[in-house]
Amino acid sequence: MLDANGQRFWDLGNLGSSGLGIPNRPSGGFAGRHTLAETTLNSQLFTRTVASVRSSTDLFFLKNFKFTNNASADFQYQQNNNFENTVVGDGAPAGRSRRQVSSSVGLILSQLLNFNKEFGGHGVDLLAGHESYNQRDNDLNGFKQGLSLSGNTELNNFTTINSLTSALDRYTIESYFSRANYNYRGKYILTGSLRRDGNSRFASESRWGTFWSAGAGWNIDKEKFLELNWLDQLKLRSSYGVVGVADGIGFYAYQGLYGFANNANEPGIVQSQTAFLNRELSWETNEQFDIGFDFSLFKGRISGSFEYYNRLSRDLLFEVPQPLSSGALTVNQNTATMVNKGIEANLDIEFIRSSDFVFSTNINVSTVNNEITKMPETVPEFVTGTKKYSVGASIFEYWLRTYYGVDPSDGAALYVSANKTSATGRRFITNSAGGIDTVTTLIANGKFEYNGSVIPDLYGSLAPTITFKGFTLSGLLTFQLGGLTYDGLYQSLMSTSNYGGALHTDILKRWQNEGDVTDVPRMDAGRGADFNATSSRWLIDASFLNIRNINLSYSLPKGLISKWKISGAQVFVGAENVAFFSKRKGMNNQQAFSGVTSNAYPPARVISGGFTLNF
Amino acid sequence: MKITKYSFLALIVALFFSACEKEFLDTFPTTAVAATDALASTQNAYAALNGMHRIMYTQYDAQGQAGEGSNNIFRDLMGEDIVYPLASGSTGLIGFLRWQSHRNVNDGFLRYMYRFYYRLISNANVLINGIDATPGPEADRKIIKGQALAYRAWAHFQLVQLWGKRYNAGSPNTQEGVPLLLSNTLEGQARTSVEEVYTQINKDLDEAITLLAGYTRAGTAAKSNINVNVAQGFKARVALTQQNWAAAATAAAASRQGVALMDTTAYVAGFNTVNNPEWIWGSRQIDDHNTFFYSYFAYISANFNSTVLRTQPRAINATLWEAISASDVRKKLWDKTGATVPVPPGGARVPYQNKKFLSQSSSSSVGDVPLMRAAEMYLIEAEAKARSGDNAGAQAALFALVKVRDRKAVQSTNTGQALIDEIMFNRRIELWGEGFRFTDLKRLNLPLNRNGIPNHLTALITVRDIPAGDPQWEWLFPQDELNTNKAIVQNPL
Repeated sequence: MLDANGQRFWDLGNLGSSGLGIPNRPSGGFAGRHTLAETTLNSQLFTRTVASVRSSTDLFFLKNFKFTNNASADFQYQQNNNFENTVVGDGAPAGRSRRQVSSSVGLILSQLLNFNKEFGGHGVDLLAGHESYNQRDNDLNGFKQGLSLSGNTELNNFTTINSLTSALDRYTIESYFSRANYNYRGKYILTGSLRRDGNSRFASESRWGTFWSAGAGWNIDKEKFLELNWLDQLKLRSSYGVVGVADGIGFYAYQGLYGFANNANEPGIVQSQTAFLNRELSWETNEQFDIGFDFSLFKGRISGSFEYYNRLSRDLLFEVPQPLSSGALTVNQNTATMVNKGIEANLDIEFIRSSDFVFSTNINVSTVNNEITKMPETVPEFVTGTKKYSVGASIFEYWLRTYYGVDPSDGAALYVSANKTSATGRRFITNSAGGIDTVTTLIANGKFEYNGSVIPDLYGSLAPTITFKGFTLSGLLTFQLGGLTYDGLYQSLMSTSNYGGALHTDILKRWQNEGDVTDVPRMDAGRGADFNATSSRWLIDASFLNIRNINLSYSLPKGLISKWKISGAQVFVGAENVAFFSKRKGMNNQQAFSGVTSNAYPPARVISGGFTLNF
Repeated sequence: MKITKYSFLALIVALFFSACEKEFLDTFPTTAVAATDALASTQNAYAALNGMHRIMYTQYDAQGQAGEGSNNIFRDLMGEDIVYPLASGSTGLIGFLRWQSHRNVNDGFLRYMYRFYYRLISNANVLINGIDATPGPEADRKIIKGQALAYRAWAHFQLVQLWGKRYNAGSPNTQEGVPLLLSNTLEGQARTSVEEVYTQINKDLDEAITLLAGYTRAGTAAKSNINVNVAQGFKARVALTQQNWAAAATAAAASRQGVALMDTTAYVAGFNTVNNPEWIWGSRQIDDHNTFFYSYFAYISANFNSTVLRTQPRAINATLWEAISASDVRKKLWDKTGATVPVPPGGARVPYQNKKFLSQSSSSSVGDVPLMRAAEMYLIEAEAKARSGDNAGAQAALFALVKVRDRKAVQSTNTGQALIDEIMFNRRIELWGEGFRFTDLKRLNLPLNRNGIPNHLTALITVRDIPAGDPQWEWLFPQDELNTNKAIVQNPL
């Protein structure tokens, strides 16, 4: 807008009292907020510098021995400069500036001793080693407000310290390991390994774990009895191994801590609600068994692999929720033991192979099945987000209040009742079978039940390629069949508690008049907490088809280009993230394996073209 | 040659077994200390006590969750006297205005409040149960234990008032109260009867009063500590809720002992400093406490520049304001037209607009949080005496306060219910925004009645009446507690 002198100024939505006859903006675009103005007037600069150093020394001795000394260091430096203006937004009217600096150094030192010998068809490869990992993270944050003179966003130019903090964190791992490989004439292969790891996330008496693995392979096609001219390769393989996992918990996971909490200028400390001493906290282990075969037939016209796996995760590390009345929020514990099993198949087929025309495709298909087989006595079950961990269930199974539908008489949202004798909000609905269902309009009396799983029946990818003369057309499709997504974004777009804000067009289907049969409850500002609550209502089939990319290229004929001394020329055009089809338009349910949607930028659609020349 | 070879081998072996030092895997944070350090000395225990003072006003999970100051706003929003005047303004905290947040098991604010009080109890228990064995001067141990006991009593009191059915003197009060946590355990505890909870509260308070005798608060945040006056103030509030009129009057008088009422100049200065002589207990905030958009003043002040306050300034119940005498300084805390309110840049002006609370500036929501003032103690004494039939005593206690607020005031000659009504009216205007209205209605078994208040908007409040004794007076236990504590029985829906 222009002021009396013709100068441009921002309409911040608060011109109600300006005499210009413009009302203040209502909610959803509140006065005093302005996305464009804030983006223009604020500044943010994020810089990251990364450097790596690697050094390796090999010493060969006694013919078959090799000693290797490796050292590596990774440095990362990040700085975030952030200024918020004095005119509009969170920084107004004082103006404020933040500087966040963090640096991280990861140092790995390893010593390896290797023995390698081949004799009479036998091949032996032995390795023993020691490794240490040492990570140091430094942080420094400063935040001031009260801009003195405009044009300078450095902290000196501000008057009042809002916060000033720093931290040094350390994380260390130490490992001893060994490995043995043996093969006989490339036909029979045996491998074995044994390692011992210590991790600073666990207490001294619980931090060391011993892990091992063994594997065998048989290249059947190298056997004399299987000399078939249509068989290029056939390998049978199997392995079993145990590895330790220390993820999903903080650096000081076992320690009981008090955080700093000064009271004005008086020194203060306060119990951390997520750090209670647990010296028994130890490694989560993954025991993986797999068996499969790789094959190639008809000179590579058909090739692929097939594998069955069974992975047992023991003593899952988890921040287990505690009663709020205990003063704790979570305690780090070893919890569930669960099984993941399934098959993975990978197939490459060339349907047509001629000099001018090739049509081939890659198909990849997987299944997974998850079940909790054991819970510790101290933690027989617990609820986390939309899931509940208990024996017999899956960690991917939704634990939600069961939605029933909409009462046609008044448009109330109905849930299956937990307590059928509680009269408040109780309704009796005649179901399609003629029986009477006891339901409730109160979410707090809605019954929690397992309501299906995130896990799809099948997922995989398809990558066809067609080549005709100089043209090549290829693409990649990914897909999933079955499974459920909890569409929290849709839930918020259907939420009608407050005025203003975006809504999904499905809200047009809401109940409006007595007798309306619909699945969308009435819009009721007073009952949003019940009618739009978290429940099985927001689950939707997670099947999708994603056209990830399509590429078309053309190689110019050699005869045409050779006169310009060009050995190869190619023209191409391609598109990434071409289309995504899911049960609900616009729903991108590929975001997280937990099956819950969140606000995120969809992958950008990129269309590109170009040419390459080789001289 | 051989020698080189072997010495070389020895070097390799040495390198190989040059395992790191034993301490290599012992790492400790720099932003926290070991829990055991809290009881290593009385000096450390003092720090743990200061931490409790701090979590009275620190930020929790979301904006508007700033400890007891915020809780006071929530409880007052559930009464008649805080008005959201603009239909298109911010709907921040509207779940309390509509009587929804406390009855929605998934509500983040409900969870936060329940968590807040038990967090204090858990920290208090560490000190109460461990301080006797902590090395240091005996006098320090008494002060620390006394304050921790008072905190534990107060936190249980706040919980039982909200989650339990009201205390009814003369009945056995066997109705379900709240879990009583006297030592820390991760095992879910069942609810204890309302009577038992109050018995323990009084026991803790009596012990605290004994231990805190002679203690003089010191330091830059002195008033955030609990001394005998504060503990007696707790006792007065508890006794009033238990309808134990005699004890309430005695404790209230003891609580304001040596505390002066503020003058009319201080009264209109914004209710934001612990230096105010009338404050018995309050949280002290300083600039680098990072209050931003979450603090008490970010949700109740007239002048802080946040979307919440710019677009939805707080106003007072118009009927209540009109009833205040024109010569009463308290009338100046709200502006009938909004014209004199120091609104933030672009802030709305509305009728009956609040200017009682002022934050440090429009760009800083820093401000000390009032938690107990002498005025409340005069009002407790007056109410307790009036309800027990001591009209003269009640009139005198009330006048001791009113004469300072209104120079033209004369001592009330009302008796009986009229006197009680006059005292309750004074309570509403004196303590507006300080968190008493919901619990006053509940302890007195009164209905919520917002009818006839012209500036309440039906579209915003949605609820005008809640009958006395309705199940909605009991707060629901949050889903996170039900998930983790199998011993909890939910309140009737």
